[in-house]
Amino acid sequence: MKDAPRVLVVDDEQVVLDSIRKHLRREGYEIRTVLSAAEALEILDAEGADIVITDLMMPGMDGLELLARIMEKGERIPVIMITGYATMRTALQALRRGAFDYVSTPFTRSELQGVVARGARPGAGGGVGVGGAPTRDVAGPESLHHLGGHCWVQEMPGGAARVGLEREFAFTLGDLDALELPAVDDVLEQGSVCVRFLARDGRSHTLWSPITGRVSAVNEKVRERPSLAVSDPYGEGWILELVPRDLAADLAGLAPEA
Amino acid sequence: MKTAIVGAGKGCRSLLEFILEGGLSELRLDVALVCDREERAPGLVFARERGIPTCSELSEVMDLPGLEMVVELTGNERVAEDIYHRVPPGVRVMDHVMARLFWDLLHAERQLRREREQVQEILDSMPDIVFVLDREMRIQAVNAEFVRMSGLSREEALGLRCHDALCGTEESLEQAGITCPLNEVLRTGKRMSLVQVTRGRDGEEEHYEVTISPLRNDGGEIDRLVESRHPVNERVRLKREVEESNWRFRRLIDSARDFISMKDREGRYLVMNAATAELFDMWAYECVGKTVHELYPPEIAELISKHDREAMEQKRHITYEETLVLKGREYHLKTERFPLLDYKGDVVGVCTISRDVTEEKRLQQELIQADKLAAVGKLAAGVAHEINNPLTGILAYAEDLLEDVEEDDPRSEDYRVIVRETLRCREIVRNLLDFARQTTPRKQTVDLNEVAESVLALVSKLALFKDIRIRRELSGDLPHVSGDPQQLQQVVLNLMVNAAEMMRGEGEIRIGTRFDPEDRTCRLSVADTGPGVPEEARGRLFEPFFSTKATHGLGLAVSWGIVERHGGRIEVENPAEGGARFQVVLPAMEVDG
Repeated sequence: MKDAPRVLVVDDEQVVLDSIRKHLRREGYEIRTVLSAAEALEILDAEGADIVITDLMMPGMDGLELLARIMEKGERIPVIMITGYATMRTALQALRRGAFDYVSTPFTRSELQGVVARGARPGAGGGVGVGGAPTRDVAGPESLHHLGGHCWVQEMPGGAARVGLEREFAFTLGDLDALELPAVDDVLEQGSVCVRFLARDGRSHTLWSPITGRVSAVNEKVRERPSLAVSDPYGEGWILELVPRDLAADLAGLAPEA
Repeated sequence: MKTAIVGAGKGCRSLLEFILEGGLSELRLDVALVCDREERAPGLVFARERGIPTCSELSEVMDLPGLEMVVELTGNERVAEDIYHRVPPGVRVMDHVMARLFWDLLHAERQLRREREQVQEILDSMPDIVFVLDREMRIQAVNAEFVRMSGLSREEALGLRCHDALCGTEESLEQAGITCPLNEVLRTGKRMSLVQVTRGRDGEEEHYEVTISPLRNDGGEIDRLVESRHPVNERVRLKREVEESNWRFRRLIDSARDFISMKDREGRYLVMNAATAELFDMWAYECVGKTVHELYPPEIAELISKHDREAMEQKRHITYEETLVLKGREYHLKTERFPLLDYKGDVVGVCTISRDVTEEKRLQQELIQADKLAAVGKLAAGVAHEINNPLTGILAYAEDLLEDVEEDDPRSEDYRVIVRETLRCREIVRNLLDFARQTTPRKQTVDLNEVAESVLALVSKLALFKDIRIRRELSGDLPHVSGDPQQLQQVVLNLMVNAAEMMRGEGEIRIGTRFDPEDRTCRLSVADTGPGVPEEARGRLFEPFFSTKATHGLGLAVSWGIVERHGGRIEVENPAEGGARFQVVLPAMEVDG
């Protein structure tokens, strides 16, 4: 058995660090916690880590900057952002800039465990793709808008927007039992829960809605055969279609700053 | 003429007095001697007093050098005889009979002259222009005022034709085709009065009240006309001023949008402006004379009368805020009342000026509401941020404890409660943040009927609506609005759910749309058959987390925020037929062409 994955947790509040430690204590990780991004960088330089969980808003260097430093190093470490519900737009920006995923506070044990478990899987952080290629560079058809390694959005004729998984997200899900899809006509806000995936190992994973809109269609094939989302994420395995409220604005809000 | 008077009785004295007063000046009588045997005769006494020579013997009279006339006033035939015999040749004699005759004639003529002079004096004393015309309209007599006003002398005026002297025209009015009032009087024989406008010598307009009276001769025929002219410029000017100021006053009050009126002490309208009369679909003049009780419903009339009395009793300016419901519309008025005083300063009534502040009030309330929402939003975001980390801790520790206890441990249920309630807190915070997030609407052309239909399709699947009848009252002729269809659907859905909850899932909901041409708005209403909105809840209905017994949460506050960001508003009322009615009011899009 290989060594326990090393998880580095960064938050300026001790209670959050303690909470994460408690949630993950039986998951078999080697956990280190620090109170600032600067300390985190020191540890990364000295020892490295397999997964980083960081608060988005911190005094001094914040989560986005830490993410940028890690990306600069060229290390494909999955970075999981912790964010309040109010700053989910910023969290989506983080995805766009290369974060692996995010959890919004307050989070439950299963929510945190799910996302960290995915981060520990091969392929997370773009490390290993299909046939050994880095997944984050495999972008599917050109007309897709990508939300980091999380999901994609494609404008359809007639004004709807189709949403599907990115390969990185799909591959870290593992074997799926079921999908919890929204109902047609539900209104989804950008950054809120879009789909829940129930994995065979008992974990649940969340796909965040990349844009705001009203659900106009769900892919019944995927409902019947969840593995389709993983095996053909850019084709038959699309998830749902939304009538966007303001696609351009939503996508612009996600665009990395120049 | 050197004259001697013989016989100095009372007649002599009168004659002397008359002559000395300047009478008979034409005869130039020079009384040189008065003769009488009786030394104490009144004529002799008077003559002596005035220094006229006297004598007692007739011979002295005859010897008077240069004597030209003897006047015999003794009344004695013998003396007269004697005088005739003894007068030197060339000296005239007037005996007492002739003297008597002469005296009487003299007296009559004097009387006549006096009378004529008096008539002229009377005419001249009159301030009016007076003149007399003959049948040919030639001037026969004029008074002093005529002379002054016409600039003609009396002599110049006499004989002139009337129109030459007065109208200043070459031709008479008749020739000019205008009926001359003088001819009118000649025809009718009746006095007439009229007001005439003429141009004075300085070109100024002059107004006269003219009275023409016919004068008849002994045969009863009209042979002359008397015209008198009385200047009425001042009166005409005053009348015009009164009319002008009246007109200005009406213009002022009728142009005002405020409701202006004056009432007497009994509450009878003395003055009312057009805006007020419009409230009753009447003309202002129709309302004057009516009382408030005749025009307003009883309870409003009572209120107005009470306030009117207060202003009159306290004799001062009072400002009232009044709410009137007229023809189903609610008017919020700011009314100024002050007593109406007469010239003596006594209160004779009350004046009111009311301003319609309904719209102002509504805007004010909306502003307060918007302020509240913004403040709540900020507060919510702040609280949510602060509370997230503590909740994270609670969840982590509780779930940890839960994981550690055996399934049948009695504590496990307690831990589950902690987890469940913490998750509930999380939900509340998220709702609050959803509310605080002021999503700007993505506007497009929206048909409110389609919004209503899509919501109706949705609610038909909801269990809450299974015992609720839904009636559509959608307008077939509804302009579009500019809005975010998803947000508007959310609003209508919230209103529908609210209505269903108010009715506890049983009753009827009427969903209607209509266009209001007056303020160019589209209105979507949701009316229920529930208990209605309690009066005390009205103002707070749209506050976040305000709940009545049947409704709760953020639905209405969120709806309010959305509609506000669409430039609209939500109106709430309890209609007469019962239940509550919520109305989404949005500005209609202008139709091209």
